Amino acid sequence: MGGWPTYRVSQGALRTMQHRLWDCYRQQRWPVPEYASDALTALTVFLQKQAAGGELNVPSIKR
Amino acid sequence: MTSSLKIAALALTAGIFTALPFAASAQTVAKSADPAIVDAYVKATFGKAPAEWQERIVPDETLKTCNAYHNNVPSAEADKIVKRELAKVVYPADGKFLGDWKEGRKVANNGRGGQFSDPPDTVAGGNCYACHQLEKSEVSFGTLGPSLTNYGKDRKYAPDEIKNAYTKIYDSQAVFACSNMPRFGANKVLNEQQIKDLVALLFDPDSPVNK
Repeated sequence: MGGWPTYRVSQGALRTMQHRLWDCYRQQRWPVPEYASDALTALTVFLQKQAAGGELNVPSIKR
Repeated sequence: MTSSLKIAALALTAGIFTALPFAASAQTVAKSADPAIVDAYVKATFGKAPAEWQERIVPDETLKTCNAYHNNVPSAEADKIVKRELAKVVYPADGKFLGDWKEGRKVANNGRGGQFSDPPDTVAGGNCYACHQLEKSEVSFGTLGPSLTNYGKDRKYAPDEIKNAYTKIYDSQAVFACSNMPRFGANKVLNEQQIKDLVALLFDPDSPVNK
């Protein structure tokens, strides 16, 4: 989480963890999730909580 | 806190969490969230997707059981799942399980198909490398599943193992209840020929998996 948001080389753009979760559902063959929907927000909060105490690593570049 | 203390604390925490599933709570129905809350989340998040897409995430009988036990099913439930899933497996009419490993290699490397971003006529792959090692020359592979390198050679190319691999790819839960591996044949992700080609990738002595 400390590395997000990030510049994604494969997409040529700055992306947030919300974008990555959207991709996550896409790759799981799930229906398209709504941006800013409850589950995406809840998952982001959960991940953020898990990452508490970690080091920030921004700005960053990912594949 | 010193680093050694931190490690000790981590180990202790990990010990507690790993020990719990084997304590009294083992193989009992997990305490579940209020279904109304779960339904509200699902509706708010996926409710605008096309209806046929929303049907995809409705769990079938097998998944309902796996979900209820967090995949840690009692043996009686596991037996029921294996029996139910085995009934879904369609074996090749010609009795031949081995296709073309070169085609199987393409299926293993292809991670497309069935995503909301894919055109409907996209040929689906198995995306095997997302979880498994296969050819030793491929350095990019996931480790959620076991390494399949030398799969056929290690099993001495035994016919019963070949059939078992076909079954496993067709419907993983026909072999192991609540397996995390997709049920490729039963869910019509891959067709019979593609599965045969994957079995060949695993069992053809000329396949790079066995080299």
